[in-house]
Formats: sequence, C-alpha cells, structure tokens
Amino acid sequence: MGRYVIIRVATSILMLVATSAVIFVVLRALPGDPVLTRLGTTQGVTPETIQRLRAELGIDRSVLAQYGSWIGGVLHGDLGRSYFNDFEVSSLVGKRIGATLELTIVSVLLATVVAVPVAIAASLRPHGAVDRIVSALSSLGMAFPPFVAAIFLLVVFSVQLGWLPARGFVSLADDPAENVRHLVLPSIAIATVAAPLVVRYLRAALVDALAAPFVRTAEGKGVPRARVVLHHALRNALLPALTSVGLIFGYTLGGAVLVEYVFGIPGLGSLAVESALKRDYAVLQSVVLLLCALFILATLTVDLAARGLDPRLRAVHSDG
Amino acid sequence: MDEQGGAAVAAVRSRMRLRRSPSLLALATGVLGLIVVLCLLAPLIARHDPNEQDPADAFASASGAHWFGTDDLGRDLFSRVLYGGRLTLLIVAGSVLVAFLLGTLWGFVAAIRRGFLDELLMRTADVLMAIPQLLFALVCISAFGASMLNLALVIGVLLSPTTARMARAAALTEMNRDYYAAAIAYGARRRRLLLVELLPNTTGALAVQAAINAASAMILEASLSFIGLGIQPPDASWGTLLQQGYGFLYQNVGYAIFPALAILLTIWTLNVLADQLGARAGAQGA
Amino acid sequence: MSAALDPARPPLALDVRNLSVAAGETPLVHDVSFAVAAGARVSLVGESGSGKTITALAVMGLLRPPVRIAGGSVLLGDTDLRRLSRRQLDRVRGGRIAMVYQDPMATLNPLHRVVEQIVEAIRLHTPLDRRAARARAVELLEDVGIPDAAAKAEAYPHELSGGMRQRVVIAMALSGDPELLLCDEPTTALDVTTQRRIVELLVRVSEERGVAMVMITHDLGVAAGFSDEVAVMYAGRIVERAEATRIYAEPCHPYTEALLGAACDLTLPLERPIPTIQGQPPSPGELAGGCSFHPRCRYAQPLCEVDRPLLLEAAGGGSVACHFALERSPVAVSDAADEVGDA
Repeated sequence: MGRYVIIRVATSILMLVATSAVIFVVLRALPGDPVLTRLGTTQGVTPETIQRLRAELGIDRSVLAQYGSWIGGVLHGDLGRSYFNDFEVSSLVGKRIGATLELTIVSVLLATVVAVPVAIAASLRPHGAVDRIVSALSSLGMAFPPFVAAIFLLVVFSVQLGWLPARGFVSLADDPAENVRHLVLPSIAIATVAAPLVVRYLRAALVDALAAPFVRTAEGKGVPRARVVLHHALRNALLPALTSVGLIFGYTLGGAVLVEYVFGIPGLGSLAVESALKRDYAVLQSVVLLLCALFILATLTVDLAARGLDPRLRAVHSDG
Repeated sequence: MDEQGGAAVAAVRSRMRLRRSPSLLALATGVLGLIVVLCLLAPLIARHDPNEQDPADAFASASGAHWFGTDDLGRDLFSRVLYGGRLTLLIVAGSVLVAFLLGTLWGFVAAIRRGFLDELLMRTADVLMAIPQLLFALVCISAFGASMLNLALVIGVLLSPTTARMARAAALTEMNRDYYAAAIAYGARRRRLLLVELLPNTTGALAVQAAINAASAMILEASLSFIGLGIQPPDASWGTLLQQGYGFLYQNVGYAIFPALAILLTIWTLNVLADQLGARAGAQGA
Repeated sequence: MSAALDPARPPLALDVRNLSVAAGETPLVHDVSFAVAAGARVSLVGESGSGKTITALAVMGLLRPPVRIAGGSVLLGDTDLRRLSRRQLDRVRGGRIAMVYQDPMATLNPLHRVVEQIVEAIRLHTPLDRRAARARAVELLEDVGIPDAAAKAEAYPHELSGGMRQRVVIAMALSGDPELLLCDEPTTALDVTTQRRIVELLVRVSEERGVAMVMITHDLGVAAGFSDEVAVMYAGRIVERAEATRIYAEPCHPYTEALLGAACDLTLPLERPIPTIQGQPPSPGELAGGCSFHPRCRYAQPLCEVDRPLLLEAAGGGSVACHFALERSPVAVSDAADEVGDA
C-alpha cells in the first residue's frame, strides 16, 4: 500500500507539472502583448518605455525562462503579480480561496445528503416506479448547467419571492447566519447537477451490491432489511461510488466558476473569469493552476481513501 | 486517473441497464429535431428582425405580437432566440465535428499502434482531462480571442481527449473480433483498417460520444457566451441572450428564462439520446 | 442428547409438500415433496439446473422476484414458513434454520472481519452483549476446527483459505443453534481433501448437536458419505427417493442409474470411454412432454413421450417416477401411490 501511495502521489505531481506547462504554453502562444493591452494605445509611447515595461513584467525573456521563474515562484508561494494593478496574486488568492472552498464543500455535501437516500430508494427495486421517477428527475437535473440553474433559482427565490439574497457573500467568520443565507442558492445550483451524478453512480453500485451473494447470506442469517441495505450493501457500494466522487468534484469546480460569477461571490472562480476577461494572464495562469491542483488533490485523496478503506487492497502482504 | 473517468462514465451508462424506451428516444429525437428545424428556418418563421429595435416597447411580456416578449431595446425575443439558436447549434455542430475527427483519429491510432505511442497519446489525454473543461476553455478563449471559428475549434479540441479514450476503447473491442484478425491476415494496411474495418463497426459508441459531446459543447458555449467570452453582441447566441437577460431579471423575467429553457431542452434531449443510444450499444456490445 | 430422542422436538424437522417455484410464468420446480426427521440427514442430488438450489432457497424464503413460490407448503417443525411476515421470518432464519452456501468467498462480506459477521448472527438470535458474543464466536470457530481461532477471528475473509472460509460460514450458521441446516454444495468450491474434511465436520455436528441437515450436491459420492436418505432431482422434479444404501445398490430410475454409471471408475481400463449421459439437461422453459428425462433415457418407450410418470412408492421403500421401473428393478412398484398432483 505504501508503494502505491508513493506512485500515485508522484503521478499526481507529474500531472500537475504537465498541466502547468499546458496552461503556460496556451497563454504564451497568443500573439497579443500584455503591455500594449495595459497601455491601451501606442500613441505617444516610446519603444524604450515599452521595453522597460516589458522588462518589468518579465515578458521580454524567453518562454522557457518565464515558465521557469513562474514555477519557481509558485513553489515558494509567490504566484506572480497581476499585470494590471501590481497586486500579488497570492494575496488575491488568499482572500478568495475561502469562499470557493466553502461553496464547493457545501455543494458536494448537499448533493451527497440528498443523493444517498434517493439512490438507496431507487436501488431497492430496479426499474420499479421509484427508480423510474428518480431516473427521470436525474435526467432533468443533469440537463441544467449550474449557471442556468442559478438563474432559475434567482428568479424564483430572489426576484419573485425575495426570500434570499441575489448577490454577495459574507464570510463565515463575520456572520454565520448571513453566510448561510448567501450560500443557499449557489450551492443548490451546483448540487442540481452534482446530485444526479452521485445518484447514478451510487444506484448502480447499490444494485450490484444488493445482488451480491453476501447480501443473501445476511438475509439468511435473519438480518432485518434495513440493516442489510445500510450496513451490508451500502458499505460495499460506497467504495466503487467513492472513486467517482473525484469526477464529480471536477464538475463541481467547473460549475462553481460560473455560479460564483452569477451570484457575485468573491472566490477563485470569479477571479479566474475576471482575469480572463481582462487578459490578466499573470493572475489567470496561477489561479487556473491552483484550481487544477485542487482537482488533482481531490481525486488523489478520494482514490487513496477508497483503497485505504478496502481491506482487500490494504494489505499487500497477507498470510493466507 | 482518468482511466477511471472516461471508463467510469461508460461503465455507468452500460451498467445502469437502462430500460430501453423507444418512446422516450422518439420523443427526444422529435424535440431535438424540432428545435434544430425551427432554428434553421428562423428567417421564415421569425416575424420580426432580431436586430430591429423598438425602445418604446422594451421589456414587453409575452403577447400575441411578441411570443417571448421583448428585450431592453425592444427587440423581439422569439426571433432573437431562433436566430441565436442558429449560432449556438452551429458552434455545437462544429465542435462535435472537430472532436470527432481529432478524437477518433487520436483514439484509433493509439489502439492500433499500442506500445509507446499509445502510452504517450493516452497520457496526454489524461493531462488534458485533468483541467476542468470550463477553466481550460476560459484560458484558451482568453488567449485566442472569441470568434465562432475559435469557439468551435477550442471546444472541439477540449472534447477530444474524452472522445479519444472512448474511441480507443471501442477500437480495442473491435480489434478482438474475428473479422479484424481476418482483415489483417488478408494483408490490410493500416489506413484501410482504420477506415473500412474499425470506423463502421464503432459507430454505436461514437454516436453516443457525439451526443455526450454535443451536450458538453452546449454547456461550454453557453457558459463562455454568458461571461462574455463567447459570441459578442450584436450577434447573440443563447448564452449571450442569457447574459443580457441576467442583467434585467427584475424588468422582464422572460428575457433570461426563454433562452435558458432553450438551452435546457436541448441538453436534456441530447442526454436522453446519449442514454438511449448507449443502452442499445451496450446491449449489442461485447 | 441426540435430537432424535428429545421428546420436546417434533418428529419432523422439515416437511416440504408439493413445493412449486416459478420465475414469472416459467416453472422451475414442480411438486417437490420431502421430509427430514429431527437429527436426520437427507441429500438432494442432481445436475446444475435441476432445481435443487432453488428448492433450498425457497425453503429459506430467499427467493428474489421474479422467482417466487408458486404453491405447496414448507413446515419447519410445526411452523408454516410461508405464512410468516418478514420480521417473523428474520427471527427464524439464522436461528432455527440456517444455510451454508456454495462459494464462501462470495458469501462472506469482504469488508467485515470474520468475527463481526459471526457476532452479528449471534446477537440477532441470542441476548448476549458484545463481549460474550465475541467469546462465543471464537468458541464456535474452535468447534468447527479452525486452529488458532482467536487470531483467525480477526481476519478478513480474503485472508483465509477456502476451507477455513467455509468453516466460518458453518460456524455462523450454527451460531443460532438451528434445528435444521441446509448445505448448498458446500464443498464444490474446495479441493478434494478439504471436501472430505468439511463433510466429516458436518456429519459430526449433526450427530453431536442433533441438527437435521439437507445436503444439496451434484456429487453422489458426497451424498453417500453424508446422508441416510437421498432424493434425486431432475428438471425441477424429484425422480427417485430412497435410502442411501439402497439407491447405490439398486437404482430404480434410469437417471440415477446413469448418474451412478457416469461416476468415473478409475479402476477400469483406460481404453473404455468414460460413460456419460448423452444430451443436456433441459432448461426450465423447454421441458419435453411426458417424462422430462425421456430424450436422454436409454430405456425410453413411446409411452414416455406422452405420459409423465408420477412419483410412486416402491415396495422396498423409497419412491420413483418412471413407467418402467418395475420391469427393470426386482422390487415391485405398489399401486398404493403417494399421490402427487400434476403440476
């Protein structure tokens, strides 16, 4: 198991490095010039000034050198500096990462809390009435890009009913109640697409588990139905379903980007959007890298956890 | 890592043992077809010019004259949605085509060559799949600019790694079959193997992937246009309309709701198509 | 004290009458009747697909839709198992009646330690606290012959050998002190030496604790070493039933005879082809008219194609379902029939 962990971690790190290279290459491949964008015009600006500005931003060096210094900085916690306002990216990120993490975690939790009982209900009688209704609803839920769901929710709950705020964010530390109020709609928006995904994977795993011989053994022992489903089948179904959570996290991150934008939540997602719009590549590359790192980390954690929880995979050396 | 990803999605689709519902398939195809036809025939159906402004009649609600109401400049929303659909669907079709060409070639070559090339190609796919699609799209469009061509190309390229994985898996299944071994025994060259043997026999899986890609492409295009990195005004795709409507939720809810419904309906029908085609392919598959 | 002498125990541990099982409309088991006296051992023998496992599952109430019991009765002692609610059934299963299954790797929960699985069974039927239950579980493991029981109890199923896993399943089944134990091919997944040991263990348990047992197997050899009475099943019906000793000496039904003949005799010269029963057992939907065995029967006559033989008592004890058993066997078939209705 230890060897596996090391290999997996190493692979993940390599992935991250490769990803950073891809992001960097894409952003540097463009013909545009951040200095010109920042200045807005070349009227009345001497070539020397442009040279000087470029040197300041560090973009007069070779691509490889720029990549090197970016990565070097990242490893030291220096994520670069915005092209536009000289803010350090790390401080921008620091201020905004909390909101994104909170939103993502709450959304995934919400999706799971809703999805687990629904998946259980659906799996008890495959192709039965409940299963088909769940399937239809899941189908519908998955058709909602999170930001579309967000808009629908906004229309109903903010515009028409006025129950919940339409924009903004209050941090947990400042005012827990307001924090919750501002998170309700965004997390529901993301959960609209995440929950059906969880339901699908979990239902499939549960149907398999319920058909397994050891469930029959449990029933033959006289184990009551509820315990058979929860203690035996669900436990065994969670393992294969867990590996798909990483995938769902990817969808969630993607969805969170736009949902943050729609609800005006100052998180990493909206930061990415803003910097993309402004062509502030220094910020964009680091933020996107960070989000990818979160994604890779989540997948890695889930994968290792799944292996750790399965006694069959834990022990590499077992005496028979 | 994404061996799990793509394979998991495919596995879930077939493991779901979805009830094959011909009526559902027919319904979804019908609705999708209707949407496509309506958008294509926009010039004939729309009663107003989508860009014709009438500020006096701004934010009108749905009525006989304006089926979907009007926007902030008094433009007829129904016409705008129809014309917007043409742009959206065009981009979606383009991306699916790009993803198909690139992804299928990618996956088939990897399957046929195996060995180091296969490893290299698939590892590249894994790396690309490690970047959440929207973020990657953000980066690319930000870098290359937002034109229709760029959008179709970027989204198509984005969708090709998953397509490649699916194509490779489908190809490997077919390569195990007798007719393929026979073709090799007859001395068929690689190009022939690709085009004549593999391609026609993997259409099931590829069609499913195309439906999935179309749905993803819709989401991506809508997302990009919504934040302003997609189709720019005065042209308007559904995503752009959504963005404009979002700014006026308090004035006219329909402005945002109708494009949203169009997006929703199209994605839903594509998902159902993918599920139903997948159930059929799964039943016939290995 | 042996159960057979225990006056408190009813004379019949299990009484199955006219049991029929179907999957939707397709019949799988027809009109099966057999009884097991308290403390006695009976074997149900047949090829795969003969319906023997389904019969056992039906007795335990473990059938899953669309498979269901289509008729007949199942009496455990004096309890009608078919009339019990799920909750009542849960109290009986694992307690008064238990089952040992074919593949112990698949039938044990891979995520729970062995001791937890036995403790679960114990605590469902006896009021013991965790500690006492654990101690009892280890005791049971020792009883079934697992060395170093205390340590092995903490293992996960995949960490044990096949034979030990099966012993665990047996221990789990015995934890509720059952009156009856159903054993579905308990040795098929094991190697030959272990097979013998497991069968010996089961015999010992039956005799020491007075547990009645039903052994389901395709292996006549196993049945011989195990039980007093053998019932042979083919295509969902019982075709012959007799005492173990008699059935080997004088099989009445052509199928039983063929099964015995098909047993590989290693002392025969190598050039002799291994006798097999030609043909395949029929699948549930495609039963031949008349006697279901007639397509493969060496003695088949025109009558066999049309008229299904009833299971009738033979004068020497036991019963057989064949039109011509009389002519081939020295034992006369009496007309005092054990009337079994048509399916």
